[in-house]
Amino acid sequence: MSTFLYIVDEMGYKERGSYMDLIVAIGVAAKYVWDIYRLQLLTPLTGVAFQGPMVRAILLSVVATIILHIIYAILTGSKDTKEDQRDRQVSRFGDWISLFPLASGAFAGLILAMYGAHHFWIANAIYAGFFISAITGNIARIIVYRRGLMVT
Amino acid sequence: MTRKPTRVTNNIRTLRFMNNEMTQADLAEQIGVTRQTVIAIEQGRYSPTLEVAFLIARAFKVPLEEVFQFPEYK
Repeated sequence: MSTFLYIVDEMGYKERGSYMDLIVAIGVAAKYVWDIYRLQLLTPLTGVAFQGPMVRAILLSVVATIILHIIYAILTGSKDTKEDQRDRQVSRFGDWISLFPLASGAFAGLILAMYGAHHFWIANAIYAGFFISAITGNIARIIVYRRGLMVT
Repeated sequence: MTRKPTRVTNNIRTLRFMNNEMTQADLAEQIGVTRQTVIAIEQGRYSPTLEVAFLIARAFKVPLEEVFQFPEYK
C-alpha cells in the first residue's frame, strides 16, 4: 500500500521517466534476444544476420522512449514535467553508474576483436554493454530517488 | 533500521504547519523546486544545496539553523 501511495504521490516526472526508460530498455532487449533466438534455430549463431534486428532494436528504443515521454506529458500536462537540482544530481549519478558497463562492453568488444572473434560476438558484446548500461543507470536513478543519495 | 542518506535534520514540517499550514506544493513553488524534492528534503532523503536551504529559511522568515540542524559527531 505504501509503495502504491509513493508511486501516486511522491514520484516526479523524471523518476517516472526512469521507470519508462527501464521498461523500454528491457522490452527492446527482450525482443532482440527473441529475434536472434528464432533466427539461430535455422542457422548457427555466428551465421545469424543479426544486423537488421540490432539496428531495429536501437531505433525502437529511441522511438519508444520519445513516444512514451510525449504520451506521459500529454496525459499529465506540462506542469508535471519540471525538473530541478535534485533531478539533475540523480541523473548525473545514474550516468556515472551506467558508464562502467558501457566501457566494459566496449572493452569486451576490443578484446574480442584483438583475438579475431567473429563479428557477431564483437557487435553483441558492445550491444550488451549498451543494454546493461541502460538498465544499471535507470535502476541506480530509481534507487537514489527512493532512498536518497548517501552523503559521507 | 536503514541508515538515512544524510545526517542533516530539519523542522520543515513543523514550520509549514506554523506558517498557515503551508502546503509542500506552495513551498516548492516559492523556492523553485519540485514538490517531490520538498518531500525528499522533509523526509531526510535529500540534502538541498546551500542556496535552496537559504531559500527555505527565507520562505519561513527564520534563520537557517531554525530549519536545519547538523548533530555533533559522537
